[in-house]
Amino acid sequence: TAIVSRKNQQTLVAVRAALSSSLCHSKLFQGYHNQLETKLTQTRNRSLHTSNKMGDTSVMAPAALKTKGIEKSVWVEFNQLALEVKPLNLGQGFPDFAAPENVRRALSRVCNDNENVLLNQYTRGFGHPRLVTALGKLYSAEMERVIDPMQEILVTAGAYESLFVAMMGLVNPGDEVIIIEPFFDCYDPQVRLAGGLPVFVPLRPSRVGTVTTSAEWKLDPAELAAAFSNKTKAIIVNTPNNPLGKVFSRAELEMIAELCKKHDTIAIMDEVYEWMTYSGETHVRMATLPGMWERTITIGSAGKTFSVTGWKLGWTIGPAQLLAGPKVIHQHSVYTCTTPIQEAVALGFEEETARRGTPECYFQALPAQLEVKRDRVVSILTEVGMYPIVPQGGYFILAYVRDIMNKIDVGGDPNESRDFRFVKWLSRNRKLQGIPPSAFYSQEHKNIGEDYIRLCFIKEDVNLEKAGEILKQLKLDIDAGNVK
Amino acid sequence: ALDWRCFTQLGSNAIMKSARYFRSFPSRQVCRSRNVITTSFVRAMCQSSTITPTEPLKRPNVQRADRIASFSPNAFSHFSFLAEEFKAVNLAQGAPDWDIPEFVQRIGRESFSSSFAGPTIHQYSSHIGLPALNNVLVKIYEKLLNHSLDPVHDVLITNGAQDAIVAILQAFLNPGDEVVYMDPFFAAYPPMVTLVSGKSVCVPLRQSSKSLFAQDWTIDLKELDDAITDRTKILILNTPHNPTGKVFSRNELLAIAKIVRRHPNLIVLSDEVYENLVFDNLEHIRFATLPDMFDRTLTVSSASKSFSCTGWRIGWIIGPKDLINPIQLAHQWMSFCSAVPLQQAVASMLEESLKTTYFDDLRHDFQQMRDQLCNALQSAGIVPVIPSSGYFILGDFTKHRNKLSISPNERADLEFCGYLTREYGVAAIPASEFFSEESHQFAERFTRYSFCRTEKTLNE
Repeated sequence: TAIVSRKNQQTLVAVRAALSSSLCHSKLFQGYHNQLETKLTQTRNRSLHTSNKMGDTSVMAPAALKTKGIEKSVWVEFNQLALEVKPLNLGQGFPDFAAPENVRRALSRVCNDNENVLLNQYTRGFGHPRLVTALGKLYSAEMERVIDPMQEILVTAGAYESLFVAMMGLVNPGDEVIIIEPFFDCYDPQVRLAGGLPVFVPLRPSRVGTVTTSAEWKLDPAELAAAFSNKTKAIIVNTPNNPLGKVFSRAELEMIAELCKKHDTIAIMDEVYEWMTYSGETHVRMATLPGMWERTITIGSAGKTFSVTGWKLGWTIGPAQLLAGPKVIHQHSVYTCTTPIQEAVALGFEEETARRGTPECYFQALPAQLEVKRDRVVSILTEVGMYPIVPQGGYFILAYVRDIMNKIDVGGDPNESRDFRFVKWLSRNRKLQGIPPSAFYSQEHKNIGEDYIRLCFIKEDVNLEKAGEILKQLKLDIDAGNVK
Repeated sequence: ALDWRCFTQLGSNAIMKSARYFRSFPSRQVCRSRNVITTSFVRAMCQSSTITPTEPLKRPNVQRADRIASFSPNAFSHFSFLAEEFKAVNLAQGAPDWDIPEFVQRIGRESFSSSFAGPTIHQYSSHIGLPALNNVLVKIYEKLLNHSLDPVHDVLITNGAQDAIVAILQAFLNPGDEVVYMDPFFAAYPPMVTLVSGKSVCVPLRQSSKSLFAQDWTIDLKELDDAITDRTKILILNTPHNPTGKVFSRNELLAIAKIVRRHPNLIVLSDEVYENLVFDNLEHIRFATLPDMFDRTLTVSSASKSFSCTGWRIGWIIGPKDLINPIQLAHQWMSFCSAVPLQQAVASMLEESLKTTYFDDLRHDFQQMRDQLCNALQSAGIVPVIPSSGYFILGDFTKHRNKLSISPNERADLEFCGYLTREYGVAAIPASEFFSEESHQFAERFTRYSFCRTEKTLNE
């Protein structure tokens, strides 16, 4: 109300009165939450897809043509479901426990820093100097090459933005971009927003109907080679892979690398789960393969590295000439990222780099912690007759649930994929939410993902056990013929 | 393409060979900075035995995407470097040089701490925004816009106002669509429009008499009317205006609304980031409050200017559901959501500011800074365009032009900025950066000075 001019004193008083009861932010959240709940309850019978379809005649200003067909986001859809149903949420990938103390403390301290008042003002657009220096030091060691922090690193508003500016900065309308399936769902719409044409190549399992590992999902070399053409600008590879958990081996990356070199293609490497590999696995960086530094973009994320997905900070590492396009896009869109967050992440990296190789280093401690959770979830899923694909990395697990799906009348829209309907049924009826993996497949290959459910296991043990109880009960009910 | 707001942490290590550089501008050379950080860094890394030299490789044949092929470095970056080299008082940078307000510090400390806010404060929010922030924005803007608002459908949180603007452009512009805005403009508008393959159409905002005041700069309504055609998708209005500091009056905006009314499918993007920095007892008029304008106006603002926290990158768009929805959908693929602890902090700051005289005090302080710098410029023979809002003053240095040696290809404002920094230790920005090419002859008599500076800096 102080924003309102002096003339409107009465309004000022009225608004103050209205707000005086809403002091605590958590009350506001609850209020908003209730409000949203009410709205969702009222609209329950309508589709839970993101609101208006494009091209509604009631919309006087139709949305840009390139945004057509990419309105639906699985996150938006299932977050709305979670708000409505309030299930045990093993869907969207974020931890339900605290982020590491050092980065949280660092962020709080930024506001106290009287020495450097500029920490709350604009910083260098391509990346806060302290942060890019810390990243340069860490990745120079990791990639065994000297990385210039000022020329070869771009800091972005999350790996999402790294991917977005890579497409917009390098892909022209008509260029082809190969996407390996299953793919993190933003790759497809981002390629299309840039006017590119996605070409999908699936990873295929060697066997189903039993407990397997993500290593068994492979690319068919002939299928991959056939996907490259003289129009191919880039290939997007996510390793460790979301949702599969596959960690691409050196040999597999070399196969992709040979094709990239042959067809003069850029490798866009989404390596956000780089620190989350389990015993016996090594994360191999495409940029370190012979001949690949010059044509590889490597993307990382503070959200995944430090379990702070809400901080929305990521980076792109690569040779200066590949970064030139993405930098320009970044400069004229987000322009610069949040300074306090960059400072805190820099501090986090300085600490972790200093204790690299020790068990206290978060990059080692977190996967050690997660491996235990992974193994527990694998045994739970096996016990209840779902066949997990044991992931080599990442914090998601796919489970083959076809046998169970066949025994339940999940209802729902028959035009929707089986797994979408099953996940919604499980959320509404058993209060356990996952994510349907066919969301990570192209239209033509959705059948590969339809028999699975994706569960996130970066959650408190108590919640993983609760999920186990829910699934055990489901199994009992199925065996007893008791499922509605 | 380092941008102009690069700053002090690069230190004197990042130095431009300024004199030689200015002679060669605007020959579009990318200037190499002698970056001592890199040199010592390289030396350090090479000492490690695990570093193997990389073999020379055939470079990929990569061009940047066509949509940005025409982009070239602008003059901005060099002035911060130049200011560093000559230890000049930096009036170039468009951000305050003081600390964030006390209450913002406190709220930041609390909001960034999960012991206060819970662990979810560090995880993803909805792509629409953190409910606490959307809610408080609705409460505030329902009063300001005199219209009911829904926190889910009528609001979107973005990574700063600049992200908001580019998201709007991404959501609505098809290749070749036109965007109309005034000239001079916030420097980011033209490249953002080009980025989405749109076309910029500028309408001059000019001094109408020998007046000293930004308030007396006007547009020709006929020119605006001619500029808006059925190819025009978006009209960007920026009030309070950057860089002149003009606050558009109700009558002026009503006249613009009359033109807008003749184009029922036109979207108005109202960039109001300086909404809380209006002085001289003027009133900030919100375009969305004018008759029939709510349904076609997207109101953009941010925390940066209101709370002196330009580094926090939290902005918002408020508008009718039909317009906000496509932007939410486009933005969900651009960066999905904004930094959550910062969203929480801004929500708390907005709430708190309503209970104090914070904005009144802010306006009062800014008005004093404006007065101080205007007086200083005047006494130096630089004629200020006295602003009624914002951060900046345009200063006409015509009286000093004879001191410069300007060759035909060079811009006088660029030369003057170099001269002022080298000879007198004050750094500013050449104003032609904010004007279209066609206007350069008019523009290059001005340079732009930031007055959002501590008293100490302004005294210096």
